[in-house]
Amino acid sequence: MDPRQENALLETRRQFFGRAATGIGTAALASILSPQLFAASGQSAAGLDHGVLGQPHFAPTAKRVIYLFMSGAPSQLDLFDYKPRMDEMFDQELPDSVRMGQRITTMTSGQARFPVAPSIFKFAQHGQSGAWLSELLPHTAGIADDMAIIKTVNTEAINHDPAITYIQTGAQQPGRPSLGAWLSYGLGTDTQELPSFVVLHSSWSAKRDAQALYARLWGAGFLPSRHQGVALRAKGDPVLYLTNPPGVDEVRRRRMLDTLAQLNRQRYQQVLDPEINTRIAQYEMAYRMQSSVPELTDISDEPANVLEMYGPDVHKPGTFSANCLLARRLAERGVKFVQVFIRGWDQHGNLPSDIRHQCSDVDQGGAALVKDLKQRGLLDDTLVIWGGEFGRTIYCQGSLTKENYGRDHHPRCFTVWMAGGGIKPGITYGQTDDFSYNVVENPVHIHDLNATILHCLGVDHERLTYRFQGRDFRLTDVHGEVVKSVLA
Amino acid sequence: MFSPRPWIAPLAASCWAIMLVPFAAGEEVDFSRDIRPILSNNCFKCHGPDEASRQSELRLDVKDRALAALETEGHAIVPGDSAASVLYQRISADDPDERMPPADSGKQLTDEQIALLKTWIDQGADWREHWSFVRPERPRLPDVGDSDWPRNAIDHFILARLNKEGLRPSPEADKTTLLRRLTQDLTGLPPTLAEIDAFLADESPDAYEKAVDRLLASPHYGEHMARYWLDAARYGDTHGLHLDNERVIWRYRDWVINAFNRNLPFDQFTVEQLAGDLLPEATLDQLIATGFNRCNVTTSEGGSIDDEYYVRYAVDRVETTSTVWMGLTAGCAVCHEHKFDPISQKEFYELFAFFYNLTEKAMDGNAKAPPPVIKAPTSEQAVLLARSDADIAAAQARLDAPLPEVDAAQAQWEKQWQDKSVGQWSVLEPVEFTSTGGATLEKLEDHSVLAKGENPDRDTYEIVAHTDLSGITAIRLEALTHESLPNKGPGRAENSNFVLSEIEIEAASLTDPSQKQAVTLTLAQADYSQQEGGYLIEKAIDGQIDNTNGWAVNGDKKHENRTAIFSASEPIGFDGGTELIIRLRHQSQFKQHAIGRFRLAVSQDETLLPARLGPWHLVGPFEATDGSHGFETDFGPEAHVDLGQSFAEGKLAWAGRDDFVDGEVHHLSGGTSVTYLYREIETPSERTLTLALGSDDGIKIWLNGNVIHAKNDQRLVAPDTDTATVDLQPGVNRLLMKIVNHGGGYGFYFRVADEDLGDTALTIAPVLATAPDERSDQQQRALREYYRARHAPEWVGWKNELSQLEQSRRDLDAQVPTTMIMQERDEPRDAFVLIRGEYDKPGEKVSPGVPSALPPLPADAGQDRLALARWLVDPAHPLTSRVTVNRYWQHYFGTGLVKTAEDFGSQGEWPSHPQLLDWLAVEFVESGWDVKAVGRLIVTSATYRQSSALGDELIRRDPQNRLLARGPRFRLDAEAVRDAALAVSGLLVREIGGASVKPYQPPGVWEAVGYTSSNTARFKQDEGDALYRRSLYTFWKRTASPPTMSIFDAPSRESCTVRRARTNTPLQALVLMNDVQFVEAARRFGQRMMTEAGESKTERVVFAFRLATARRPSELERDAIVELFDQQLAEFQTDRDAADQLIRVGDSPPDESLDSAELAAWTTVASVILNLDETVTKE
Repeated sequence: MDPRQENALLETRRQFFGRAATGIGTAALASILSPQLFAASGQSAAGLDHGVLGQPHFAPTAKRVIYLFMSGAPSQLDLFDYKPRMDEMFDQELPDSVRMGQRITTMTSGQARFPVAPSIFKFAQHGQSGAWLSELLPHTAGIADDMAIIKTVNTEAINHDPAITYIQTGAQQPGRPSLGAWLSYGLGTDTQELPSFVVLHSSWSAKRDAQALYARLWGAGFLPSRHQGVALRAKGDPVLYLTNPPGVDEVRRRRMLDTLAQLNRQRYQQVLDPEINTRIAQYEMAYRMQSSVPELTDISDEPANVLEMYGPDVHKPGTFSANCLLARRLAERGVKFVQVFIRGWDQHGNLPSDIRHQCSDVDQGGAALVKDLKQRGLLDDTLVIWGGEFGRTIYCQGSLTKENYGRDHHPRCFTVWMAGGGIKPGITYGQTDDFSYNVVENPVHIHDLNATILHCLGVDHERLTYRFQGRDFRLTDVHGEVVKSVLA
Repeated sequence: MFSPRPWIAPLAASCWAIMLVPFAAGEEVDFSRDIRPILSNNCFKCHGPDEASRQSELRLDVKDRALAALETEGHAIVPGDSAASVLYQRISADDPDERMPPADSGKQLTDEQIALLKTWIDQGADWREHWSFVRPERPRLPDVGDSDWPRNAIDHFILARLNKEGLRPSPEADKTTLLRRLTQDLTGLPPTLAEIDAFLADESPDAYEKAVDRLLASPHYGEHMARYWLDAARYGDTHGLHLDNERVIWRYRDWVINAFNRNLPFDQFTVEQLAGDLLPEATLDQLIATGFNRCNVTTSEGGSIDDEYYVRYAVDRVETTSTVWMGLTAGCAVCHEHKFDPISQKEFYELFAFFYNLTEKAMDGNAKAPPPVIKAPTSEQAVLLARSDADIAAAQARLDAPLPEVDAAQAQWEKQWQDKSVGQWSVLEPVEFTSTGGATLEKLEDHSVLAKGENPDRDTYEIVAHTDLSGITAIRLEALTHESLPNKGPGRAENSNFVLSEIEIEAASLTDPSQKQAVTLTLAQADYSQQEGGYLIEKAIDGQIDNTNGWAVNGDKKHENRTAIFSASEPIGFDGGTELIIRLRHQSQFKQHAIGRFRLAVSQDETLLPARLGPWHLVGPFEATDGSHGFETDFGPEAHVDLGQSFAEGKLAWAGRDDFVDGEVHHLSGGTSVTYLYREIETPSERTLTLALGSDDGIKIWLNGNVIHAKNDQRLVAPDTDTATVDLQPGVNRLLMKIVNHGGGYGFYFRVADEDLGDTALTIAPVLATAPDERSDQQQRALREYYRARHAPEWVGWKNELSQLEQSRRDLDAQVPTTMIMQERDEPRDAFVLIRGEYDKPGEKVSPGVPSALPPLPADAGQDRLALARWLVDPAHPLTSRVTVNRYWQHYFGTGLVKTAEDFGSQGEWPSHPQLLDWLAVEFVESGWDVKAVGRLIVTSATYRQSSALGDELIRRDPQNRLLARGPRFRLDAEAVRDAALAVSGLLVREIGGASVKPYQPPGVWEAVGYTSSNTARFKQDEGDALYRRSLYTFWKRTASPPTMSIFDAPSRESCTVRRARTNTPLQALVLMNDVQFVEAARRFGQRMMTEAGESKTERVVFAFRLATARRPSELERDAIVELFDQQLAEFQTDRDAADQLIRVGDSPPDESLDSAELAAWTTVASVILNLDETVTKE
């Protein structure tokens, strides 16, 4: 489509969830929402918003994504990237031939030494695939044969803010749309009840000082703001401003809306601006959300065995487990992109103790999510992703003992796993050197990762573009290769 | 022959056809409008300005190269002959290998585009420079026949185009609509009822123009215009990256408001913001203005590399400056040659060089105002400061004036004291005195010793004296001036300074010389020490005798007597007489810096003994849930320390820690927890200790039960990171210290940095010992103040008044905001082309410069930001005026004449009315860049004054209103939506300017994302007036912007935005219905209806409807609202609880005299009115 025509469409479609006229349920509205009125502003009168692409570029293997984001950067060395030879290297200097003068952060660039800190955690092989996993992830071990473990994801950014902005938006500086916003823009929505892009924030139990998140990580950047992620909150209103004020019940709200619609309708008849009808429709949508969202977050209808699978945390709103269950419920309701954030992985010191807490926060819920989706037949077309913004160094930050160490930021390789949605199950992809410092085989840049995610959704990452400031922007900038080897 | 008809027809029916296919049958193809966009979008990537990615010699962005012979054969373009043109052959080829653009480019030409290119070649391939790079000239007004519709030049252009399209302008909007539109556009607020009534009553022909002038003169005009500009300036109240801590730069925001209000011409507005600091004798205001380019996001993330961020900040400034003034997307050239516009990568870095030379640090330190900054008092503050200075001067003069009776009594007292002082200090009579360096020492009559003769580089004096006194607490050294010394001394050096490296004392019994006493001097005080180089008196007793360290007195400048007192740790002396050996060592790197004349004395005064610090006691660690909890919570000992007490069910108890030595870092054990430390300090007299402290992390100190120091930082323990002063009472003082660990490392550091015995011993005693006519003015003054402080109660009152005045001066000064400004480095930092934009891959060195496709920098203008700013507003610049008037047009009509307000390059959209744009641009420059004048011109046009109602034809033909056959109708911006609700409800506080405020925000918005130790991790809502300020004063946290604003499309302010999206979403409905701000506004609005609008329901409904929409409701509308009211009233009367709840939403109290059910029902009505499409829309 001519990009200018695209713009025209986008800016007049003006529906946050891409809901069209038929999405409005009350009889009162039917009479005023004549399809022709929307036609004038380029609005399709029937069905759901299918995004700017109308339909995917090719047959998708995933209809939706659940992205479990480990903010702060988990240590691949203590979780996935097994390096048994490092035990012999305890406290020995990282060879210059490995480091090759690569830049490192100013937190450790002043260190006199770069001593190797082997992981103190035991690794074992799991499943038919024989994937190596750390003892920190006993539940994840149970889904080893569903996962594709990619050990060679890499980035250029070496600090949190630029790195997390980079992997989420394709650029290190603020201003670009996030992955979820691109999907909403490109593919629209499959739900009439909920936003197409939902963000969940999780509590964490390790150290309190966690790296920040930024609204830009689920922002729309230069795309119309309706594509930005909507945060579902564990405390207070699940969606901001969802609850009626004290003294206003549902009946009173309905009554008020009826008068409002009546008055807006009268105005429409005078000025004939289709925007007024859109606004009437949005009020009806808001009214419906007031009941659909609480239904979503009420897990009392979940069977006991399901709740048990997610572990005891599932009963505490806002925990990672509770959010994983919520993610499944969102996926069931057609939400295209759910991103679950958990912070607290930035373990520069006291890594062995902090990572234990952190893993116990995420292990059971993440594994349960995959199992749960699988049991419901949803895993086939739901892509689950687990990973952070970069990895951590083999060399120790701060003082090194047999029991304790810390690790600095390491952008040159880290591990991400994916499951479902057209991903080849039970594989480990890519190889790092003995120090998990450099990629030896099959590097996967974060642009490649993002290209692959879009590919699973049937989107050619080079062809999902938006014209801004005279340039066709895309999530992967001018880079990115789909990693075909991890596709089923 | 090609005919456009078959494809024009279907397109014309669709909504965008009018604007995007201005090319109609029989018309000339316009290269700039029709052809360049096709080439730019599809061909320039490989055949454009970027040499690296150019696929062959063929360039299609430059005429000569496009028409030149091809390397292979033929010409790409043969004017007049498309069949012979290789370009046309290739784009129309059937063979996919031949066809351009190639399949793998992802680009594809439509049949229409191919046809257009063919027509263009056949029509002669006319070639012009991209329109926006050509200086605009004022076009003549188009002929519109004998129409009397036009009111000014704008209307000629609009009408001519409408005529061409066969459309007619809409009739003028009715007066109320017009006044509301105008008031919203010029002030961002709805009109008041009085304003509406006055306007309706004014039947004079210029009633409208008078309203325009009134509104342009309103102080709210500046606020409203500033709001748009602040989007462009990416203004925010936090740094934007990583911790996203608070940033203080609101004086810049207020400068912008004020600049619009005083109608600062746009050229000056530009120069002051981009380069105010470089103007000769820059004013405070001009420095504040440079905050524009300090508004970019900055970081202080641990681990960041400085060089990378210097580059990012400069890139942001180039991109912002280019977008705002030139509508150019310079950012494309950061990594490579611009693919579309004539900005080479080198040219980008030449622009970059203008901004790469600041004194700012790469890391903002998470500080509120990272340097360079300036104290920027507001005009009110400046007045108060001047007044305060005058008050202080008057109070000081009163203190200095003679008080005859008191002064006479003082003279009497001095005499008495002088007699007594002999008894206080016993001057020692030296019995032996030698110089190791060979100087000749001579004893004078007053028992002082004078050095003469040989003047060695280094020298040590040894003096032996005998005294009958025992229990000696202190020794006094006077360094005295003398005629024989250089400039009278007191030092022997040529510059008359001295450095006393160390003083040492030994004592022995005169009756039994085997009895000796080692004397430790623990406290040193002097009436003066040299601060430069740290030559402080305590250096003379620090045990270090090297060439860098000692006591000096600025003897080069001050030729005065000096006094020092040294206290012993234990009283000195033996019964039966004592021999004292005193050594004065002079070992400084500065030669001949020995004391020229000195005198020694001893005292038995116990008050001169130093305070004694007892051993530490420790209890802890007490576990805390987090650092703040630990810091705030009393785990037991804070109210009262009882060393016998135990805690945590006996698990924790006080334990002595003799091993904690002052002046060393001590580590503590515990995770996130709290440890208490306690010690006693005994002192013989009142005095002040200065403590030097360090802690990981938080620290709190109590002296005798009062908190004297508290700091909850997160940091590593290190010596001397904090200081605290402790006023000790005579006797035992109790010191409790709490160390809070947020996690990780844990420890503290403690030492006494200074002990001040007060002024009697040192300052006054020596003065009294000096003959009155030998005292300096300063000494006289010190003495007088000392005396009056003790004997003239009235004077003490005045003195207190002065200290109060000084305190309020300091308080006032503390309120004076700092603001961030631009400042050039003295030594320019070299700028380079950065290969692929990477900070650590410098290429060719560049100096500041401007793109060659634009006019050159004036030869004599220099090469700094000032030159750049002046170049931008040179009338010859083709872009600045066009880009600026286009943004103004966008304010009023919702869409610019160039829709892509941020992009005037070849990828930007062709203007809907190119000649109008040029006419306005020229008019703007020739008016002297008069911003109000251009606004007045637009709002007084007939175009602007049209009704905004859409007919069927307009919906079909021009739904986006690009042709302007009707007036603008679109949703108000986020700020205007909220401000209108505050205004009509009567809650709005109309104060202009000041620090940003934190109105209502749902809990958890900041907490969900914030870095735990960020000072914006927790949102604390303001109270009172701060809740009801205009929205441009709302505190803008950039990583979590105010949700009511962002839901209505306000940008995050992380980067420059010159055009906002305008969406219509259910979340917006939720805000207007449920946000406490809007519910509170509704109930206050309801209250106004009941108290201000008469008794009848009809009157009240009309009142409210007019406030919100300016017009009267129709009968139908009125009846619907009254019906809702009646029904709600009945319900609330049976459900009083619900009514009581609703009328208490928000902080402001309800009018208790009103019936709650009635008020609740009116509140519901008011909420409906605030939610009307019309209320949130400019019609």
